[in-house]
Amino acid sequence: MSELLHVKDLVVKYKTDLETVSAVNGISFSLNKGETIGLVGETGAGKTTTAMTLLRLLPERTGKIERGEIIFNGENLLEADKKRMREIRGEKIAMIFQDPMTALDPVMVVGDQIKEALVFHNRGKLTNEQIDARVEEVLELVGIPASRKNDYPHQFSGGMKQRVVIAIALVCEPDLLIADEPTTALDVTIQAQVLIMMKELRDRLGTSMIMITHDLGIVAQVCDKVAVMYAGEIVEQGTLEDIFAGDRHHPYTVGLFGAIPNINDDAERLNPIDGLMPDPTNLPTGCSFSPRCPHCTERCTLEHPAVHTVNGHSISCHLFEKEVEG
Amino acid sequence: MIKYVLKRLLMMIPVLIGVSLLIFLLVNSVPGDPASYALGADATAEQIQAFNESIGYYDPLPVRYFNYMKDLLRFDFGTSYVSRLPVMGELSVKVPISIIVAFTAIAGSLLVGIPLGVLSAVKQYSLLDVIPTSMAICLASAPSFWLGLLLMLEFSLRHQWLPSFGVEKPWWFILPMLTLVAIYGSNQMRLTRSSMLETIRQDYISTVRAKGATERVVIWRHALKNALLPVITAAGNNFGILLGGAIVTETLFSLPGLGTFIVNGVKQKDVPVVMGGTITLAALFAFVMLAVDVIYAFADPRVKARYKKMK
Amino acid sequence: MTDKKEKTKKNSQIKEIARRFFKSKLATLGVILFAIVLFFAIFANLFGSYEESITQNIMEKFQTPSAEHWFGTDNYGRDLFLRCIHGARISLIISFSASILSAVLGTIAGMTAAYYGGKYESLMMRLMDVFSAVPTILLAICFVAALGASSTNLVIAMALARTPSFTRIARGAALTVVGQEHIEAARCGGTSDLRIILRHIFPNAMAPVIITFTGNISSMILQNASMSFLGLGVPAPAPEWGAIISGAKGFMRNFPHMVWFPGLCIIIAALSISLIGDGLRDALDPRLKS
Repeated sequence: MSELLHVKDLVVKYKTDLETVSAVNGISFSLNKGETIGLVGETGAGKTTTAMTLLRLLPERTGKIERGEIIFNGENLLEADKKRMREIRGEKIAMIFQDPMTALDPVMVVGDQIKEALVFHNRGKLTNEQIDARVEEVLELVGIPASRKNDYPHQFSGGMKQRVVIAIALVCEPDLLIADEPTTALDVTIQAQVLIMMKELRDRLGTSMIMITHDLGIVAQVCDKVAVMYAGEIVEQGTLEDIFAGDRHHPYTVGLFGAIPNINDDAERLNPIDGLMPDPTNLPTGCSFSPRCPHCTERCTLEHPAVHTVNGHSISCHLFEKEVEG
Repeated sequence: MIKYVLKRLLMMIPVLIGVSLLIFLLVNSVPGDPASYALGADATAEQIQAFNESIGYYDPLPVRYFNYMKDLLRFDFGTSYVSRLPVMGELSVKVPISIIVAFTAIAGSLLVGIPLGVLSAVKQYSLLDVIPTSMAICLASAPSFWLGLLLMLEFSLRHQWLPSFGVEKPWWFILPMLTLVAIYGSNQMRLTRSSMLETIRQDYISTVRAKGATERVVIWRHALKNALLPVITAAGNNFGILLGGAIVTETLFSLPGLGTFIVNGVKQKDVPVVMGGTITLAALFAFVMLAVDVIYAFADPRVKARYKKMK
Repeated sequence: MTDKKEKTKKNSQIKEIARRFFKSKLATLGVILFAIVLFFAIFANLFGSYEESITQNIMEKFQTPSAEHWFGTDNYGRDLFLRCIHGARISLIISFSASILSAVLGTIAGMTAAYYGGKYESLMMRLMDVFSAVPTILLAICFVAALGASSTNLVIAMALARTPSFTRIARGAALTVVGQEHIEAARCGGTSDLRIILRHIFPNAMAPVIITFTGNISSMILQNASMSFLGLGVPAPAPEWGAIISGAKGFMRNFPHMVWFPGLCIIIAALSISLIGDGLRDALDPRLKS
């Protein structure tokens, strides 16, 4: 399988006059064609910032990419100019936003909103009739009757709106689809429908996907790989099996799952992690999870842990240092 | 939609009756009796008595109100105590002037305010934002008569390019227009700016950008269309205010508009003039606001849907 | 114990609002400008008495600005600087009292309308519709004509004409809490209506009312000046800014300073307060911050 996306040591900060927020602190991951990676973590872990950085849609004035590379199809997106980025957005990389209630322009009919994506990237290839036909086709694809293309967003339910958002994202058949908590804002029953549909479409179109979520159930259903994020870092990364079935885990992942058998004898079921995420304007010196970690040692508070990898399963924690050496 | 408009028209009636009652009470509380204003200082006691009797001034207040309203139903606005001219005839001269003034001033302020507002929002924190915004804040704090006087000083007194009063030629409207556009334009500009800034932050704008849109499409096709909705409402409101509230500018440049007409009536306790003027003004105001709501419904499908539901 | 806690919580809230407020350069500028205006208004007598500002002195008429007369003198030889700072006093007193009065009237009307609902509410709101069917300045002129020209009546007239905006805002804010359980609970528990309105509804309406209140003061300054300019404001010979300009307009061709200075006074006063108002709005409503 060939590599589609490789993010290397990405650092993103939000800078205002008053404070600097360290949103993403040196994350690296890669994604092959046709694969889906899940970015898992609590709110504020830097998942959405990562997604917006991939599209280079950070707020212009405050969002700063300090370091790193985003290699997409062999091209470093951080060196692409504005025009090139516009060509990539929507056509090569598309995004599904979290809240379908606010993600659609309220004063434009949905058909036109889908059409726009095609028109921006058309460059004279398709005639108007072909574009209209394609809009109807993609609406049917996401389960909306083509006759509703002249309806406004407010005429659709939440689940239907998210289908429209997905249609906008898929209309150009992008190589990479970033889905930012695509089902969080929906009712539970609708969540399952939308998720199944996304999975089917991904498989049919062969799209690679970054699934941003805090719901481990979704990860188990759709992802091939998982990256667990905490305070702007990837603390653990591996295949779905590594994360769900393996017996070596970052203490944060353990906490996230509540309890995983074998890792720790005195683990209880549904054990929430004590404490809160560290203040992103003032991260701890050592491991950022150390203030909440049940295995915290003095070293953890002083020294940032290195990444320890065994068979592609990497964990960034001092606990696993010996294991790798031995 | 039609049902909604009809309902709104019906709702205007109690408001207009309320306005007539309020203004009737107020203007009748103005100290002195109408005759002393209408006949001047050298009128005899008999003349005053005769005049007051002729207008029914000695009837009790409710009777006078009732009589006025009865005439009003037949569209008879009565006769001015002072000028002895029918109020209807006077209104047919004043109202068009007020409408022209209000309309051109609002059109001008939108032409200036919207582009500048969009520009400063898009270029937030740059000089293109800071300069127009600070100018607008200062202009919004300047009294209209002072701006008007300075314009008069420059263009009429120093250079004699334009006359400082009157409405005989279209270009004589230029100075009062400039005054009003400076004030209302800066108001519309600040509103457009804050509305744009609010809209640009919305999720759907990110969706448009993620589709690969150019900034031009993002700003003009998506953001502006949404940001204009509150601007339309404010423009309608300002139009209504200008119809009767441009008294200061009207007085300064001697424009014989509705506002000055009413204020002169108030000063002289000219009941038919004040009543006729205010009721016409309130009715016009209500029509303008209704028109704005209809325009709004066409600009925003969500609002239209709400009206349809209300039926 | 809980009271103390509440107090410290409130204090830290106020601190946070102040911190956000002074972060804005424009708001800080507004405070500085307003402090200057306030200083001259309060200590106007240090520069010359009110009598001096209205006493004619034909010998010194039409003087242009100099070290002795900073803003020059007018057609009666009165020192314009003195007139302007005594004008600041008049303008601030009238606009503040009119704003406070209309805020109090409007907030009471709005909160009670939301709380009692029913016929009382619709009557109140229709009354406000009637008030706002006529432009504010026209309504204020009608009121002042009916009440008779005096400073007190001017304040009442301007306050009444601006009551509807406060009523609507207070009602809107109050409606968001009126239906909530804790208010129903307090009602069932026999808490008096007045107490419920003061303890539960008023805190909710406070922020929007304060924002409207500040914005209103600068409109009041402008309206007060406009009414004086039209000869319907504070009776002559009080040195109201609008009246000074009105008296000067006949001489402005040769002595433009007579128009410039009082006009700049109005701008600075109105500007300082609207800058403070904008700053307060942003500080009280962090949702709008970028």
